[in-house]
Amino acid sequence: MIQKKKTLVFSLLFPILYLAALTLYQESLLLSKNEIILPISGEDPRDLLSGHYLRYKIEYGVDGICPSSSGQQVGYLCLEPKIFSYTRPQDCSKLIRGVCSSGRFEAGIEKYYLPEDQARKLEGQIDSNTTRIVLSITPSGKAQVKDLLIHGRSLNTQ
Amino acid sequence: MSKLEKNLKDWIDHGFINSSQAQRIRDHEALKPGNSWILSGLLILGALIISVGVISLIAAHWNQIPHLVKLGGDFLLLVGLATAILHTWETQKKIQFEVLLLSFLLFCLASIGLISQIYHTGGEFYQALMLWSLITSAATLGARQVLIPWLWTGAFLAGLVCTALDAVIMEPIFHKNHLAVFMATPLLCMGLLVVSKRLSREAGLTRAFQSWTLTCSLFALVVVEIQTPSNLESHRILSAYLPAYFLTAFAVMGIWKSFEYRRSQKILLMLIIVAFLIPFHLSLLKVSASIAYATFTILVLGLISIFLASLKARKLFQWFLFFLGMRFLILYFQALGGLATTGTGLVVSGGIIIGMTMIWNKHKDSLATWAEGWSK
Repeated sequence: MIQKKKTLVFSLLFPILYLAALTLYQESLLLSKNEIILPISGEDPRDLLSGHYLRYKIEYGVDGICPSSSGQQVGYLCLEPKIFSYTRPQDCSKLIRGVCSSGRFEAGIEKYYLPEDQARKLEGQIDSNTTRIVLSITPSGKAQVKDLLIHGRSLNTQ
Repeated sequence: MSKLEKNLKDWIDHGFINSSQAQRIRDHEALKPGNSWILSGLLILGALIISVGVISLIAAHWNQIPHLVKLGGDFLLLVGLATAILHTWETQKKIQFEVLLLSFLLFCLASIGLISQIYHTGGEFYQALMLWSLITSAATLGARQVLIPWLWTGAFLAGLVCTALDAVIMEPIFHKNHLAVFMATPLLCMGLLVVSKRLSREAGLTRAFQSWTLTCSLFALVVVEIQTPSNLESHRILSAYLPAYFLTAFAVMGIWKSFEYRRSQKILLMLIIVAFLIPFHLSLLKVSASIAYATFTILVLGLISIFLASLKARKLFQWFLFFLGMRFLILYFQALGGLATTGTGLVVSGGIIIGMTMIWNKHKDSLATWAEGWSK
């Protein structure tokens, strides 16, 4: 049990400050000038939408991603030049750090939240040919979803 | 008439206390927050419903509310709740403090969800639980009742188990061996219980760890019994069990140095730990006979029952006796197989259930008394 006021103040402030720092960090990722647009394809080819979330595979256009199909391992995907490696590549201007899990590359950018009414509205409009994902990436390889483009139009402005 | 009133009347009738002493006991008990558990329960339920309502409102009006307003509103609410918690702490309003603290903790979890949705961070729910339990661990220590620590411990353990099974960083340690993870979980709870008892004996967190140690042990025993032979190969990587061995050593050391237990109770606890660990290693020894697993489950349940009785925890003792009886019954079905599902088999099974219940009902008090005296 907490006996001192100072301890209680710290214990209540800590989660608030941590969440504020997390928000600022996420915002800073969006400010990155390094932006890429990539096509996506559905986990389920009939429908990309799964409830409130759009779940997809990103078409990186790089051959030989995650050649080892067993277990989980950190992987680095370089888009310029197009190579995949289990070690951090040198001289890569557009790098995405992720995890190879059972032969699949995952970088925590494979789903997009949609509010209920917007999800209903977009049902049928979203398909692999017309939908692109906008990512901002940091020099360390951290990728963040910035926007979704449907027929070239930003979802944020729809 | 309440239980306290009945006891007071009985004690006055037997001349143990007089009526003025009885009145002083009444006044003392009335001041305890535990006496208004219905009130605090309803207030906590209210807090839960309000939290869910606010989250639903935000979700329903997602498009209309700009991100900045959503985040700003969320942080204002958190700061407001924190201020209110401080005020109730200073003014000694115990029930309001508990309700507001629970609301604050739930809003912290909702905030993680909100940030995750706004920035499309794409994490799993267990990662959110893990983050939440880490950033709110200090605030949980402020709780005076058991509900908040109990919820926090449950979320922490759920997050930890899923992390151990799914996170890349944990793969070199646990090798996705679910048996090693479930073996380690009750031992971790026991280790945390030892630490918590040393630091604060009567705190809600200690009671929460107690409750989760028993729950996780039961769950682990079920998991080890229902493992399928196809999973056995991955269980043969011995290094996956190292965290559990380390936790066992820590728990054993803590128990041995404890002032709370008698020597016989300490020995009993060691026996429980040994009997608990053995079934997790049977697959390493290529033992797959279900009777071997059942024997150890029955042994662990029996030893835990005796230990609980030695602590005079009669309700828990009876619950564990019930689990023991259930396991015996399942063993009967396992042993007889198809025969138990025939007409005669079902009649005999029903007879066994009724017979066991009658014997248990007749002897439960004498059994508890015997077990209570066993470890003296």
